[in-house]
Amino acid sequence: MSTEAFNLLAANHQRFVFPVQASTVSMQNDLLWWIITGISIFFTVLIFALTLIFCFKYRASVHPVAAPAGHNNVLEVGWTIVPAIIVFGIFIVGFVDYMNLATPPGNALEIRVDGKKWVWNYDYGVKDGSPVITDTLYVPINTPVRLTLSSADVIHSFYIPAFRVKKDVVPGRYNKMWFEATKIGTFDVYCTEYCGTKHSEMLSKVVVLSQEDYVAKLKEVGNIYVAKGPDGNQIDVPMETVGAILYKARGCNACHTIDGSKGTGPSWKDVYGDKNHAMHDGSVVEVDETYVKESINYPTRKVTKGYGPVSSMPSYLGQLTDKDIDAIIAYMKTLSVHAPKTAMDALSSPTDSSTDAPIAAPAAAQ
Amino acid sequence: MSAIAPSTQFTPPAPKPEPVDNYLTHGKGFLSWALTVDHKRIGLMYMVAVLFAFFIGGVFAVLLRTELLTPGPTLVSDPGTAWELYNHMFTMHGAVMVFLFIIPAIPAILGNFILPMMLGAKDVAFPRLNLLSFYIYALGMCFFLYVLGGGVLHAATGWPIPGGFGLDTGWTFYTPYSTSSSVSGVIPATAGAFILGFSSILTGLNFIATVHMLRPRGMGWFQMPLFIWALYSTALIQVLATPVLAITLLLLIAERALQIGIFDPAYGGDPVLYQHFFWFYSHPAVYIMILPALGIVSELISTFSRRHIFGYKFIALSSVAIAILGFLVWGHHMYTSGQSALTNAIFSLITFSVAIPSAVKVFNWVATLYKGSIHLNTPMIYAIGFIGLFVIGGLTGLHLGALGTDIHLHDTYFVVAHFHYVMVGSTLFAFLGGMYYWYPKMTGRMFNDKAGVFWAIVIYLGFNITFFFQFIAGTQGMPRRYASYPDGYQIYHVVSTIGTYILAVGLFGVLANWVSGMIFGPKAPANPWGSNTLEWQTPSPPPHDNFSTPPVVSDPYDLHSWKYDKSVNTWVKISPEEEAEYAKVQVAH
Repeated sequence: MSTEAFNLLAANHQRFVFPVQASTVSMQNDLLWWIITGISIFFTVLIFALTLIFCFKYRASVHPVAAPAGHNNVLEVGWTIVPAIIVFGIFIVGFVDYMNLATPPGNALEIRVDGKKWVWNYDYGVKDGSPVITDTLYVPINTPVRLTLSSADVIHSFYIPAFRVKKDVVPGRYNKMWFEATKIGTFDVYCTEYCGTKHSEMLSKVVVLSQEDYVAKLKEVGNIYVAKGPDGNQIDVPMETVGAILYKARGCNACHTIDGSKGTGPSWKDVYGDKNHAMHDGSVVEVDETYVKESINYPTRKVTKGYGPVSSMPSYLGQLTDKDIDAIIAYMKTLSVHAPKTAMDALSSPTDSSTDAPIAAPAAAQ
Repeated sequence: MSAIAPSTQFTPPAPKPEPVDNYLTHGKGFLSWALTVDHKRIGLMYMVAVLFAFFIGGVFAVLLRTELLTPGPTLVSDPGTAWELYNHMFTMHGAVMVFLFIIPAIPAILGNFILPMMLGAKDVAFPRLNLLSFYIYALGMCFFLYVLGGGVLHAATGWPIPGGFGLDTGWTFYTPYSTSSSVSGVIPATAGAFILGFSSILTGLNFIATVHMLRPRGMGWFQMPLFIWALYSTALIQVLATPVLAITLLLLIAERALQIGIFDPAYGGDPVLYQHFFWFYSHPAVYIMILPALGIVSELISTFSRRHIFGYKFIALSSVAIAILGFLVWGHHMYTSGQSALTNAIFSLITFSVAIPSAVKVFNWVATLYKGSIHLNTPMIYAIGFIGLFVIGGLTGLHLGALGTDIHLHDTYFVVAHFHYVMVGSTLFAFLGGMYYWYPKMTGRMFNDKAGVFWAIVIYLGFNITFFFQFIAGTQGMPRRYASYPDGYQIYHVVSTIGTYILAVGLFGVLANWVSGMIFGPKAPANPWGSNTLEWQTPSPPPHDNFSTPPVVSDPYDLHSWKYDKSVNTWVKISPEEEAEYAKVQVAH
């Protein structure tokens, strides 16, 4: 049975009351919701009507003497048993629906979801020695997908309204959920467990593709170091451009600005190459490759002045390859007047002590 | 005429010798209030403090709803500041409303004032403990408001507020955000909540002892008014559940200060364990909020229908059933946390069972209205409003109790709408109804009834406009605790905010109504509503020790023993013979 009948205000993926039904469990969820709502409307109207009718019919000006004390055991038993049967029925349907939600099929596609303040990353596994990590969830249509959810910091919750699925992402454990998408399209993903300042910006998308498009997409996003050139050939993407992509895709932008304004973490503007970077414990360090790599993998070891006493940055250990970190360093160099010039740069502009203008990060992360 | 007592044209009863004094005039000066052990004065002091806290919580509701008028930052222009501010404000709104308003309101104000008088007693069992409860509340309140308010001020302006680090974890303090991530004043705020808990525990203890020990001769358990059954059941929960919260908060403080590893996985702890501890208290806490309200509604429905409450024993025992079952359902707040399917199923099943006693109460109230003689004064308007809103709030609990639908609705605005229907639409309405009902007894004055009805309707409309469409926003996926949101949800937020402003206006109207009654209202008789519970057998306001002559104990719902006497413009007790004459009229009726 379809709930198209309730499609009164469909616009822009939204139906009356519900988002579009885009997974195998959407319809069962909506159906139970409507059953409970129907029962609720029935009893609400009944109680409202009786109350208002009695208040009118027995108002004191026309009914000055009230009837004597009443009690009726049959009625009491009746209106205890009937609601009990109704709610038990609702429980059964809810339980059966839930078991469906909680039991993934054996052949599900496995994707890791990593939540950290305030970005969702999806780990598809390893290709050619590099992890394939995106910030948009790509899935094939009509295929069961099982997500393993992990958090590096606080509790988040992974919610896809169109699929009617949700699971908390709890640090210290791996929660699992599954779905099977039934419609091609792009659907919202929300974080729905309060996780701090940018909780309401921890948004993502799930893109459902045909099987062929999905395979092609995974190949495309699998290696961000190469792209299609203008004549269709594979070309290398400059390291600083890859770094700018990673800056957004891995959530660095949630805490580090590039224009010098204060964020949860130090801005990247004019920081790389700074030989006099002040630390919280009063010491001074040079922001070089070693420092950046250590701060990415072991962020609590060195804390910048003004961001202490304890760093709130989650670790990226194991999530960024050395090449990724090099790309990020290349990007940071473009943002900083302190970046040391390479020998080739010194050849081409011996008197110019500033580096190139910072690269603007691409408008759309992949 | 359909009103029990006419409004401002009220003519006072024939002059009698002025009473020597009442509880308000007995003893003058600051110390006579500050060191009072009179339950009535303590009730009034709680009223001032609790209503102040309600005002503060309401201010933050208006501010955060104003922020939500637009998807982007609204109150301030910088998004980072706007989200910080919003997170502090929604936390403060929730924490102040839960800990400082809705848990204490009915027991500490109306319970303190009325419970001893309904039992024909001079005071509660432990009057000095009662005063201590108040001071613990006042201390906790000042401390809590300072820490949280300071944080909001700091977030909004950047000014340094010594010690006022605020709280931005939500009133639920979930770990590990609260133990290791938040930079707000989690420890002082938690300490404030810890202190406040003791006020609740000691009040509960006092009420249990009072109900057991100070009932008059002739009032067995099944001759007590239903408000007392409600307060007693609430007191059981207060005494048994609040200590669990106290311990949980201490563990939270220890975790944050010492990194022991109870809740924080970085040190080997389990964040879900915190949720179990927290909700083990906080679910019964919502029954602390609603049970006294249900008790008030029973009193109002009966009195203003002039009819003995229908199904007294069932209503009385349903309060106890709710109190007991309420301890067994906490896991329904955690269906998506990762706990097992079996755990989820057990909690879901028991959750549905709690719906039954609540439904039984509603049906009994409606049956009381049947063939009653309905007087639509202000307290009754609130009781009628309560029935409708409690039914909606309770029935939407079914969507959330059911496992399948809850997965979609958990942590969305559907939950926000559900709990506001039961906490505001129900508990607040019953609180206001009770305040209006006992207002003549407490102040010795009558309020303007027509104005009271008018503001009740404004509040009813404002409340529904605010919260009804949130059910739909939530079903469409709008998450909770979002400072910004995708554009498509804006219409719901705009409507909700407009409703909030209407609700706020209505509440100020009620305040004006109360204040004006105290200044301009005519003097109130002992029994303006013709009720048969014992507090009406003493003048309004009552003397210091409640009863100059011991009250006559009879069935609290024997409303036919009172008749409205136009010559003295109040209700008078009639003799059993006259009542028998009445009965003949009823049989013929």
